Amino acid sequence: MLKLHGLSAGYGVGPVVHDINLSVAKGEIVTLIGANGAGKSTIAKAVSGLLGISAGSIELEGRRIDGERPRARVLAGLVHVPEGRQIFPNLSLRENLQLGAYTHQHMAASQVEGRIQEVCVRFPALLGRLDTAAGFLSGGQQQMLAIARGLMAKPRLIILDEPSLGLSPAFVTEIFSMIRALRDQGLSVLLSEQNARLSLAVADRGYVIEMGRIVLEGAGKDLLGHPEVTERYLGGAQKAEESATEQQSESLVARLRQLLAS
Amino acid sequence: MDTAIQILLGGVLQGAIFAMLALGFSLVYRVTGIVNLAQGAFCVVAALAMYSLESVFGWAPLPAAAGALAGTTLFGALLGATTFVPALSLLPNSSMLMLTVGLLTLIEGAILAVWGSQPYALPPFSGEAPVVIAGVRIVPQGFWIIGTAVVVIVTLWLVLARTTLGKALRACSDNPAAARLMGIDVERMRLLSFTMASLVGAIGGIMVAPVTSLEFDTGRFFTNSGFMAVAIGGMGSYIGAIGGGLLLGVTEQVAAGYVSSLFSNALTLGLLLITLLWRPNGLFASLGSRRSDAREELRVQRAIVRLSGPRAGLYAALALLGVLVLPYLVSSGVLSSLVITGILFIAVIGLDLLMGYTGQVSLGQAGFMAIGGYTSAVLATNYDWSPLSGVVAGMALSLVCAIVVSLVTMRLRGVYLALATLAFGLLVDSLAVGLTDTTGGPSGLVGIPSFSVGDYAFTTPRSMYYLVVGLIVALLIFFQGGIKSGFGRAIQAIRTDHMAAAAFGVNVERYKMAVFAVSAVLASLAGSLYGFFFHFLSPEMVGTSRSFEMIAMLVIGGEGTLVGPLFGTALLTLLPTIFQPFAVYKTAAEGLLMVLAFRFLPAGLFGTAVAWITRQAVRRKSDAGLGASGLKRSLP
Repeated sequence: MLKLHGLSAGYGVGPVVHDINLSVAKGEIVTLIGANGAGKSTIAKAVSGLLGISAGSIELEGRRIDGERPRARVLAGLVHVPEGRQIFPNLSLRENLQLGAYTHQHMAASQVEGRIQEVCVRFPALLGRLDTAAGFLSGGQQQMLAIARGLMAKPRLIILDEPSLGLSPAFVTEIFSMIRALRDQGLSVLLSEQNARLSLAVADRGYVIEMGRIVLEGAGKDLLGHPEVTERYLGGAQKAEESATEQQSESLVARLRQLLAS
Repeated sequence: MDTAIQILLGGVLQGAIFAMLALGFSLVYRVTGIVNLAQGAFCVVAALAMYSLESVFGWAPLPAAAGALAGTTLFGALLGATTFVPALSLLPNSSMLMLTVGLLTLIEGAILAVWGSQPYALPPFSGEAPVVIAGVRIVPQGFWIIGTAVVVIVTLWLVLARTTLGKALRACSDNPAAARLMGIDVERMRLLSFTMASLVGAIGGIMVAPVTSLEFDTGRFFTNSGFMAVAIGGMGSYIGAIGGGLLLGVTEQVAAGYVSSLFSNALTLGLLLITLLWRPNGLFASLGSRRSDAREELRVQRAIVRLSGPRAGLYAALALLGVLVLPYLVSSGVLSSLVITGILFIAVIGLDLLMGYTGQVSLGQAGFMAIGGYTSAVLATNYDWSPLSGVVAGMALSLVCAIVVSLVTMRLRGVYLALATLAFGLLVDSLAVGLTDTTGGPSGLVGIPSFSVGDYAFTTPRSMYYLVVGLIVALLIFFQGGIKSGFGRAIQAIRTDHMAAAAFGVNVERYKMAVFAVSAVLASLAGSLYGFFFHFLSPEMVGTSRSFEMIAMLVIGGEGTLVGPLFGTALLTLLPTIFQPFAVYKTAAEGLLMVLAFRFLPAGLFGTAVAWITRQAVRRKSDAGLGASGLKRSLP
């Protein structure tokens, strides 16, 4: 479905990501995990064409697309749901969704409306508020809208960049179960996530990105059990943090006791 | 009663035109986030093109109108594709606003070169005999204006609200990156909005031409009115543009009918300032909408370039030497132009502090020149004050005015601040014209004495020259130091990111006010010297076109470089003196230079030169194995 070969891309001075070799098969969820600034979003942007590449190639269904404009890539069935819920805040929900189908200009208004109903089956919360300005939605609903808008274009491959960022745990679970449901319908998903535990659990395969390079790759389950991944992305750090806070609170309690005693 | 209805009707007619103009502004603003000040110029181009097609080429009115509309729209598309749209990805918002000032100047200059400076009028479309309905007389052209306005308003609304194209246009302003991801060609949408706006402007121009006389600089009036209408109504609101236009038209006519036509302008501007103070986002902006300054995201960030080190001192010393011997090398005509260059440069230094260093936009710098100029001139001429005390009084008055304007504009940023300063400049302008007894009105104030300090009078251009040079050197040394101080760092922090600056504890309001006041006082000083040097002062010498010209000088020379604007000022002042026969092309050249400077030398002449010199120096040093950089890029 999607193949990146020796890809380098970045902003201004030099490349941020180097020599990325990566593939997504049809009906597969592939996740990129890594810390803030590792280069996950840069890869996503390069694939969708928001960012030019400095070396390598991008192939979609066997055809090179790296020289093409974002519009051509959407037409080819590749949709990017960017990080940070990039919705159109002053447009209504319905207008946001209609624009999602912008490249399908042969579709009649009634067909677009039908598609909205179809997509929103998964997002019942959106259906009731179709005429509200999108800026008034809660963060979680905005993320839903961004994904729904992406689905409007009937993509064959969808890139989801940090879909769970800043959402409440209930929403996060909901989004991940939805991602699985999309895959079960035959959609390919490239997922970039900081929440490694959930994304590896849902993913067929995963890549670990550090400092702009792929350092580890494998099946989701294998990575989940990999000691290095566990240490760095699944709570090794968290434990250290917890013990630090514990120590702090202990010393605080001790000082309070002293104060009370005197 | 009949008179009242008559006046109201006149207001609605005027308002319909303003509403169309406002829609043009709104269209470009909604797609690009930029206020296109060149908007009004398209009205004049279309009307004059129609005039020429009719009277020179003998076309019938209908084909002539169609030809003029098509031609103007094509012109708009070309201008948009070559300047406005490519610049959007190169320039920050404030510079974009200045670019449109350049476009306005360029188009005005082109009109001046093609059609000259005389006024034109078109014959009405369907006769002049007024139609009388229930005792109210309506000129037939009125029906044309109202009818066309309704058609334009409804058509545009349908396009924007109902079509996919309209949604795509609005998506571009809401979130360009996301729009790209939807497969929308953002560049094409931007060009489309610019072109559509020029078409709407052209339609308005053709409709209004039979009831107004048009000159090369009438576009400025249309721009001002449309800008005000859209700001009163609310920048991004469709209904607001129409409501604002009608309100502005009616207010102007009522003020002219019941108060005085001389002060109707001042009253309208008062209305505008009150609106901005009370509802900074316009009367019709929905309360739930986002703050307008939320979209002041920096599309492009440019660093301030500076030459430093021992080399800079050497260059400065050489330059000063050159400046001191210059009067002995040039003719007296050129010497006078040099004095004017110096005087204007003083005001431009103020503008540079405000715009280049603090990142605020002022379209009313000449307003303070007018305050200083008239105060000192009137005091010295009619009340026998000494010129020096007159200058000081002017500076004091300017300081007070600047503080008042600052208090009004405290909450405003970006386009609204630009608008408020424009309104201020126009207000001063209309007062200078209106207060005939004091200022001499449009024909100007004559018999202003020479500047003097104690017994010494600066009567010759040469003495004036050295006075001005002395002042400039003192100011430059002072501000060069000032910019490296805590104050300088604070204002540059505001330029980069006012929210971050505030978060670091910079009192943004106070610094902005201080810089605005300093800038106003410098303009005031320049205005006074200007009057004393010419022995004459008229409103157009210190009017809005002067404000725009000074912005051009700043941009061409190089914003945020302190000395750079001197080159821009000298270029624009000396060119017409040296090429006298080409004076008719002066305006066009000014606009063209400004547009070219923005397009190809965004750092200005001086900024580009400094960057080049520094690169050479770095290369030499790294060749010698030292590798240290002489270029200080100060990003506070």
